[in-house]
Amino acid sequence: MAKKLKGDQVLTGQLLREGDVVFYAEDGSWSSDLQKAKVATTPEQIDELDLFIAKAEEVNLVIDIYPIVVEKDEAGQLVPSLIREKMRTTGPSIVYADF
Amino acid sequence: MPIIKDGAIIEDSWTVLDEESDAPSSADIIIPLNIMLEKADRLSNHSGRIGLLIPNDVAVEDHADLIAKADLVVLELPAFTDGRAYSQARALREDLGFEKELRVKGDVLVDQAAYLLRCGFDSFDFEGEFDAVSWEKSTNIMTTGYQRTYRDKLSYRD
Amino acid sequence: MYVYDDFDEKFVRERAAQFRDQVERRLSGQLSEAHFRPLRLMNGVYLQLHAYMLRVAVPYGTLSSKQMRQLAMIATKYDKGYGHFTTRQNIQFNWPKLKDLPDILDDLADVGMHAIQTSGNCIRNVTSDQWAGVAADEVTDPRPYAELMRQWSSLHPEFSYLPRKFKIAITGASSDRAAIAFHDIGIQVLKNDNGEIGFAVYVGGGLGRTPMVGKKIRDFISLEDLLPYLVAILRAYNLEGRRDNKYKARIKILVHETGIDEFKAKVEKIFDGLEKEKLRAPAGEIERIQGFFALPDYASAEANPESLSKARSENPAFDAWVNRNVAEHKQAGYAIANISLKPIAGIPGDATSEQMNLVADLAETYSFSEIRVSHEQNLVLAHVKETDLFELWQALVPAGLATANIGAITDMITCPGLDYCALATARSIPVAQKISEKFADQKRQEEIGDLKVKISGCINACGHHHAGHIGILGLNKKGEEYYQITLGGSGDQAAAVGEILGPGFSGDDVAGAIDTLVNRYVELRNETSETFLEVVKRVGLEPFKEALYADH
Repeated sequence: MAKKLKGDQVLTGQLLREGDVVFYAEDGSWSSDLQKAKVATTPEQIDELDLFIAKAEEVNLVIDIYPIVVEKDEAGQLVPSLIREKMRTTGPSIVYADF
Repeated sequence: MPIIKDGAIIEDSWTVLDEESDAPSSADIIIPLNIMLEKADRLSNHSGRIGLLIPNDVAVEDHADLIAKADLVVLELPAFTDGRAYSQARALREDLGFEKELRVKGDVLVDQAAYLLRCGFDSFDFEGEFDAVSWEKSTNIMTTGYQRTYRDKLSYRD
Repeated sequence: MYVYDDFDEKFVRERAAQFRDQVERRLSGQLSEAHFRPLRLMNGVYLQLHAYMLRVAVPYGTLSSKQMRQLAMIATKYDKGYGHFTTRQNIQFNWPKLKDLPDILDDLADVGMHAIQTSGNCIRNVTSDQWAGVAADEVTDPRPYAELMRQWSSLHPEFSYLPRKFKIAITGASSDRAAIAFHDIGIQVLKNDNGEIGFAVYVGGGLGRTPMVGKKIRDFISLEDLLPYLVAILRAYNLEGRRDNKYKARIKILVHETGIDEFKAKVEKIFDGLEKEKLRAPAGEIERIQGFFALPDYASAEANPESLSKARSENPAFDAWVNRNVAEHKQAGYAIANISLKPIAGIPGDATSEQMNLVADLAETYSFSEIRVSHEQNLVLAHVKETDLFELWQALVPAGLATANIGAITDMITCPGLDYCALATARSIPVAQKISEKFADQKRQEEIGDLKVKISGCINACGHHHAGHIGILGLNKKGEEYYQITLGGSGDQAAAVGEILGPGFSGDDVAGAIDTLVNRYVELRNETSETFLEVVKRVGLEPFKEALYADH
């Protein structure tokens, strides 16, 4: 059993065909926009999300699905708590392919 | 669990002997190496064929005499990522000269079958379902190889 | 360089077809992710932080102009217009889509390339000296033996499910530019008193969380027994390497826990029992491969030409570039031109499609259409006439490829870090960029002299930080990136693992800390020729610690 994460959570994964990072959205789809993510705040909702992972992977659309902890910034936007997940949401922090 | 030989499911006559029970003396039995080492005398009257189940952590060259007498050797693939049996098989075939049936038992994936065949296995004790079409495809897609191995049907540069 | 014959071509085409079938089965759901993962890894396909990543093999770092152009095409067509050259002389594309990967492998096969075993728990791309064949200090060109090992290790039926990855490097020179001491197997080509080729073999070197310098297992193995001896080492490892703990699964741990003498005894016992004849290279094969590595048809070229000295005296920037980036060649009148992929404040090891195409063109014009990739993430044109150097440099300048810093402090090895890598704990590239800016001044770099800074974004040490004169390791403490500094490491023939100086620094403070260390070195050295490592050896870490932490 994985260590229980503390805080509000959303599910993230990557598209099988393309590899793009996506988040499980309120409407049941997978969106590249974190702001559309379905946020679990109560223990029951978090358990529900965890249980959903295996089911979602069976669909074979999104892979490597796992929950991340999110917070709301001053503007009310969802932001991942961990630096790794921040990077994953925003893309590389450097200017690339520009010489 | 089906036994696969030459790309098809076959009827299997072998049964695995466990610690306690005795098989009929005329049966074809597979005996785990540790039992063989401890209780070889139980087999003095055995008229059926004898196979040897060798675990993953055993150096096969240490049991060359037993192997030479066996009609079948079974090696294990406890997880498809555990590649020890590939080395055991090549040592058996190429260094000890074992010519009888060599079977692999465990987590065999169809995409590994070609490598297993090249290492000298000729029968497969499979977990899960056997799909003859993908087996056929996967074992024939590569026709070239850079390493000469036991009874290999690939073509080489020389 | 080596050129595929019909057999090699058939082999890579079949392999590409096999992967196409596997991808189709994965996309249709027939193959689960758990079962597909090792298959895609053995074809160089990772799932990284933002996307899939494809690592293409550049065997022993040698490429043709045609191959480089194909890499540029792939970067443009399937990726975002750039690629990243790695410490194992390969190239990575950061944004390919799984659905396109079978087509990419076909495109690679069109130019005799592949991505076989650039990942996975198998024998990886065999690496070598980027100056192989032309270095002045070489016994013989190691690349024929590297190619022999590339073929031998490709889709090896026995060694594709090893306890962990397995890296082999080979050098033919007395100066080790291939870091053989930090490989699972390191090989040095030798000639015995009878003039016969053989190999000293080292085993159990590696970086990562348990860095170790390789230990010698054989003083001299003959050419015909090279492959059987490798089989014996790999078999001992495959059978006895630890499979219970991923972090203890490399051969260095087995060698360390067993002891080199006992491990050697095991290997020799297996070796003695092998039916060697079948494991050797087929008759005539080595000679066939060697034929591809004959020296190119050098023209008679003037050594130290007047035109070169004139251009150098008239162009200080060109002069600096020649001093730093041009190395001595075996052949009089020729030079080795190193192309830095470390522009000031750039991304170490990255090249755009335009840059790749330009280098391909320049190699065609000036260097027999051949390009090398170094493990320090730079490119090399290995056969340039001294009379052509100025023209070559002029063509490199506008493309941002003429940075004069090979071996200098801004020529850092840097892993992709948390900007790309799913395993990273901290970013590497922004730290390298800040250090590069801090030391941008050419004059200051020259005053400092040779200095190797190496940066990894996690304990796996892809940036070779343990082997850096100054090593930087990015970690994560309470959600913040911080960086640990080591001193005294070396990746060459005097291989050594660096020692940790003390508490780490934030990303904003690393460049300043490196500045402090370098200033201290300059103060401490007795003469400008005393190297950083010599000073560390002479005075120890204390004076550096004092300089860094005195105020804290």
